[in-house]
Amino acid sequence: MPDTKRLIQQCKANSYKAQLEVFNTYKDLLYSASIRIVKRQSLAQDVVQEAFIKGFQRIDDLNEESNLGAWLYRIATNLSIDALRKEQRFDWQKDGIVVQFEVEEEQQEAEIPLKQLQQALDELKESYRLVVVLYAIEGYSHREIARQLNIKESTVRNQYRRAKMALKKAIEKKLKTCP
Amino acid sequence: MSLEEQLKQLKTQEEAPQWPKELDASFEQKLRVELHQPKKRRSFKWYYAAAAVLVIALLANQFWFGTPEFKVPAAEQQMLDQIAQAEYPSEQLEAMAAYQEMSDSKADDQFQGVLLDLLKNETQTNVKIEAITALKPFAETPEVRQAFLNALEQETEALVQIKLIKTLAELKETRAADPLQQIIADRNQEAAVRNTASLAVASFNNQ
Repeated sequence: MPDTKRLIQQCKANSYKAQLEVFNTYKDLLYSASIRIVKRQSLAQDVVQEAFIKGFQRIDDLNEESNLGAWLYRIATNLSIDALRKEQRFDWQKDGIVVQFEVEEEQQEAEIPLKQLQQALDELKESYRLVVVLYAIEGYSHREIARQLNIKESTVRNQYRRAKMALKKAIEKKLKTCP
Repeated sequence: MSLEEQLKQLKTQEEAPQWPKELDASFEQKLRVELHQPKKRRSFKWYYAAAAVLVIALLANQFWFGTPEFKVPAAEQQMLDQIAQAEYPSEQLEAMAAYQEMSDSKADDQFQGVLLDLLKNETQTNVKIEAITALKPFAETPEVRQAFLNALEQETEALVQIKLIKTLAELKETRAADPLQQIIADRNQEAAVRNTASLAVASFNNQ
């Protein structure tokens, strides 16, 4: 485990060596997160580099006791969302009337092979895929997603519910064709 | 297990994509450019002496002859020559910064000429990037805009390409749209360059 307190101190002093150590420690983590969100390798590569540079520029905001990896991870995921937003891959307006979200209990599902789950997720339409990735995998709240994507929180909730239904259908289809 | 819990497992799956090792060098270079550029030194250097001589010469000229003459004095010319001819990039960068500090004239044709020459003929990435930054205040000049466009078509160094693309996007120079489309379609270009070009084209479309 890297000595993150020392690394943060050295990065605050703009040490090139320490910055490279931080990069080498967390680059895979940030890259896998970014690719989950933006899906495109080339865009994720750009985002990750930008995330580290931004992180080093703002390192003075970080407390030495903080979790450096988690902090950089959040910068990378936020930048990934920004990159998607700039590309305007979504048209949230087309998603119809916002319906009232009702709290529903999480249903128990039969265990799904990860490969099929990933494939089904990748096949969802872009706005559904993004909401599922951010909420269920990356742990963003509905409010945070709404803020990042500049849409209403109720739209996020609505999108997530629809996305989950679409994902279940896609999984069922997959399991039927590939038992 | 609920669907959410199963989805969470995707985050820790073993086959998570790895950062491509061949991009390490490009990040190291980016880090140097963004956070480790040589700072302007405050030590006494030849160009400060030259600047002092220049000021004294101008004042003396005005005192003896009454009217100031606005031709480029020898000391100033010497500074411009030094920018163009300096042996090391760090010296060029320092000289450029010193000249900019001394002269705040935005209509300085001589300085503009030196910078355009650096943009066209210099081989050092850092120097070219600094030249682009220093040229930006002259961007209302058609010659400078055209030089940016020409450089975009000819430049092969990714960091300089990115700097040019971002500058042209900030200048809202829509004539860059065609060369940018070519960059986006060119699979031999680095991913970061193509992505920056995509963002620039998108910004033109949003205008």
